[in-house]
Amino acid sequence: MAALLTRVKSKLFIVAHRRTWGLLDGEYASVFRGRSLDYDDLREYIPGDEIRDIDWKATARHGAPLVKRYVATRKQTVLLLVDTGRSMAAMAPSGEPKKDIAIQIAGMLGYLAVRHGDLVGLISGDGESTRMLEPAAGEANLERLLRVIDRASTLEAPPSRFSAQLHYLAEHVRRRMLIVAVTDDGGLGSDDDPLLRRLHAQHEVLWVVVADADPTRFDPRADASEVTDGSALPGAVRGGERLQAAYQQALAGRREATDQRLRRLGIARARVGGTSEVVGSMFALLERQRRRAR
Amino acid sequence: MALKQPWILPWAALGALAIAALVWFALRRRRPPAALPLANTDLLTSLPEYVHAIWRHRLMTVLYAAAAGFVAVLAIIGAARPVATTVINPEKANRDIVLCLDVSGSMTTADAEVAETFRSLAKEFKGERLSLVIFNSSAVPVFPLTDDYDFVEEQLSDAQRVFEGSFDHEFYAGTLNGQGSSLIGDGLATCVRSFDHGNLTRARSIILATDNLAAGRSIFSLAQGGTMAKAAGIQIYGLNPAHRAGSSTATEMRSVAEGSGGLYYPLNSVDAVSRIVSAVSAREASRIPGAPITLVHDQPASWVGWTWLGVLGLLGALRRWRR
Repeated sequence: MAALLTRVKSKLFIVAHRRTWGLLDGEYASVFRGRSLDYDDLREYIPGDEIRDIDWKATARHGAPLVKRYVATRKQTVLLLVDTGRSMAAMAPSGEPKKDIAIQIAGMLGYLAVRHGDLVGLISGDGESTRMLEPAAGEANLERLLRVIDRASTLEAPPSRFSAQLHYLAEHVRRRMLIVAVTDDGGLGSDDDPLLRRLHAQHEVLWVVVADADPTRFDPRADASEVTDGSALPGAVRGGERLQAAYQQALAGRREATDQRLRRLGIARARVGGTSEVVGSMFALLERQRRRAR
Repeated sequence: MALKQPWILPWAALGALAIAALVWFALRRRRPPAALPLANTDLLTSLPEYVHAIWRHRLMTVLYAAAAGFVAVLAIIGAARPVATTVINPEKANRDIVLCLDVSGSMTTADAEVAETFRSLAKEFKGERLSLVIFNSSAVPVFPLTDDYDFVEEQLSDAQRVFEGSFDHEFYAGTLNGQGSSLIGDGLATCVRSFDHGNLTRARSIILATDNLAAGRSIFSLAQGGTMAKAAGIQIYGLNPAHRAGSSTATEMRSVAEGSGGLYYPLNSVDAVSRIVSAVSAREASRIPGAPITLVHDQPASWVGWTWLGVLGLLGALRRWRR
């Protein structure tokens, strides 16, 4: 099996130009790393850096913006909280399995963390079981996490129930971590709000939704079925402009409801429909999180 | 409509049901991971539009299945070989009638009547053959047994015209070559000999119109002629315009006619001829009922045609449906 992290990285560097990558790096640094008071050195400003990190005196001397870098006081821990139930093996709008997108998200954020020397851990599971891989450093560890996600989310896996993973997190993790929750539109349970509020207060939660493929947009000749119960969605029934419009409306309604709840909880969220969207979405997510943090 | 192989019906129906069941189970069991595994489709399936569409889909499926079943029924009936049976009663078509007319002077009125009656009868003939033999002192066939009814009509109308008074030497030519006149035995014998195809089962009859007043020496007597007719299975219907009850001529003629299985009619008025001839014709018609021939024609065209149309329609509907 090709190394999943290699795939993530190649995708990252193909999709994102070096500049964007630098931006992401900066975003990550400002979001996850925080600042300590121990000044380290100066480096050139990259868009995305905190304005207040700019060393104006040094900039004036140098002629180009320079930012101060600080020595981190402690290692951060990024905890990937990934839904690996059956519904994550379903199809995304891009035509890829949703888990591929989840892996891309987890891999990218994990890689950023690894590059900064942070620890990356994983809580993953489905409606029946949840497991945790303790945070550790290094690319090998990240690769291991990604493989766990890849192996776990299959069409034969138990159905998803993301509340279980949230509860597991609440029960098993005491230390403050940066939580990246990766699930789908069904992930946010209707009575999870208090739990999420608590988790967000204790940790820092980022909510990433992997979108589902639109059943009304597929070739009606293709055989489609719901992964949870295997019930067929006959092609003759799926299409039609009226149904498409109604579906879009219902989808927008559901998304709006989720967004509203997360907004009220103060949790930054992103929605991803394909691996090629991951870089942009993550950038926007980190940007939003940075704004919110202040 | 009848079926030639009705035993096919239950087997074909069973076969069709078995195939349907096999397909059903195969489809049930197959359930491969769908090409499009989707999650959170409850958003779609709870839409009223979708519920409506799924009901329509189910209805269409049921209708389609019913249509397919109907086409299968058509095909099965087609396979059972629908046939049309026609019963042919050959009785009317296998009669040979020889009009054996005594053309001595006293008989012409009755002869004209016989000719006229047969002219009209011949219009409805189908397969019957008619011959006209006239005799006086010798017998002459005017025309042999034929089913060329145009020709018969022509000849009979000629004969009728002659009998009704327009004397024609040519018509009577050859009837006076014997010794005497009205040699009835010879006339009858000639008539008996004018039947052909003795090996075929046909109803053969002679309409013998004579007054049985023979004068002269004939080769055959009337009784001998009757015996010949009987041996050949020919029925003689005697018409006697000069009937006198108890007279030897009448008695002889009656015995000959009835001896051959025919009938004897005293002709008191010429009007009776048509009635008698019709009665004779009807009797003759039922004499050899013959085995009614049942002709069985396969009629697959409409069933197979409808099946084809049905299959094409089903395919077309499927194409449109799954478009």
